[in-house]
Amino acid sequence: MTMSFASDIQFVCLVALVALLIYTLWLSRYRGLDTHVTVRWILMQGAAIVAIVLWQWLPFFDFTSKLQDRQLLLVMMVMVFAFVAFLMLDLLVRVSRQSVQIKKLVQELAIQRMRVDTVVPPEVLIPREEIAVVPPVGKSPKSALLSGTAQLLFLGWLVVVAALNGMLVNEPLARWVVYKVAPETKVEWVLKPLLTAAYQN
Amino acid sequence: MRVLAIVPAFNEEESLPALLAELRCVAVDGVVVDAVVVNDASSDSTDQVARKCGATVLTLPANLGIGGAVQTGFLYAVRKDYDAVLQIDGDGQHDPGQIRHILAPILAGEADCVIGSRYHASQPDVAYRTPLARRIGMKFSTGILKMATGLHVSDTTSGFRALNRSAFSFFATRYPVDHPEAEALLMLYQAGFRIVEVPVTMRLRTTGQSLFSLFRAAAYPLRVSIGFLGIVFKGAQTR
Repeated sequence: MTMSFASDIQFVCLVALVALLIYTLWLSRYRGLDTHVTVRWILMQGAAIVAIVLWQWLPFFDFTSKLQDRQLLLVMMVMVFAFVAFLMLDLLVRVSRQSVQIKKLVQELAIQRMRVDTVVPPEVLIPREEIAVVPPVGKSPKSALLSGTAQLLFLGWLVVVAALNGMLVNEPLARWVVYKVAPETKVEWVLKPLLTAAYQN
Repeated sequence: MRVLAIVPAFNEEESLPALLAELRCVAVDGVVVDAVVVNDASSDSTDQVARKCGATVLTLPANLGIGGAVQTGFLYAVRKDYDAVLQIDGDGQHDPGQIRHILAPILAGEADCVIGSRYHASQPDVAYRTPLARRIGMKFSTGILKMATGLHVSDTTSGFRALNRSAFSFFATRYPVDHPEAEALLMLYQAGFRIVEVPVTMRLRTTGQSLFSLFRAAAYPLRVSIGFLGIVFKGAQTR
């Protein structure tokens, strides 16, 4: 590895990190990324940039220098970091926006509740026990995705499938079933090749 | 002039009755002071106590923290077309008798935001003993605010404030969430609002617990720095 190659790698890493930093600032300004989240990310990205700038002198990299392809390891690490950071920032923008929406909803709810309380004070409201229970409108309990019986049957089917699969990948278990549990059964000629097919070689 | 006193309250059932009674007695010439208690999802009977005292109560169904609670008050003031708001803590530390001093610059049109300061150079509140943790946090936020804006505010953590219509309308749409006082000042400064401090005296808390615990005080400088940087990254605030 020549020095120029190491410098090239360092340059690529720095470009990636700086691009990520600019992207973070852009998200903060124009896409509603929370300010506290922004600062934490920028501090982290700043630390990563410093580490890349100083990587030839940092003691941590003494360990990686014993490995082959030190520069390639570095660039891979930075790229993975940038990719994960990109994904996380995207999620954080959503989280930030939804936090703001939740806050607005909570505030609006408090104001509307106060308005309702002005019209109908809480003390004149009917006590909860006196309110007739109205059955929910819409789907009846029987129209659930699966009935109780169907769920049991489905569970049984899952167990059978899991057991068969287990026997197909587990040679001792398959041999035990074929030769010990069901040696005399008439279905042996079906089970035996099926369960031991994987081990015939 | 109609002024709304916003009282953010979290588990303040013991201190609220006295505070609300005092607020009812506030008399400033030509000013009608209404009070709204913003109950920040308290687990005690803050809501019922405040209602019993005849106050308007905004009960948040989820805890938003001091910033979210105060902002709800600003939103309410905008909807109800108030001319100014007063922010006064529900723990009873802020003396409603001082309201006239805080409102004076707003009424005179000399300021958009007035902060009631315990440490004002002209008349510091010598009787008030600030806990060490809070003092350190405040020194820090005062320093960082001065560094960022050149503005010297002696009591950056004071929640005893008055805002005129343009300032609270500004905050109704954007307001910091956690420990918002110092960050709010930076936002006001960036948007070109005039900030003034007036000396006030404050009382010691007799019930409940301060949000400024030792742990929070230790984390406060970091949170303020992060908040300030975040506001700077967001870019200049506009009205």
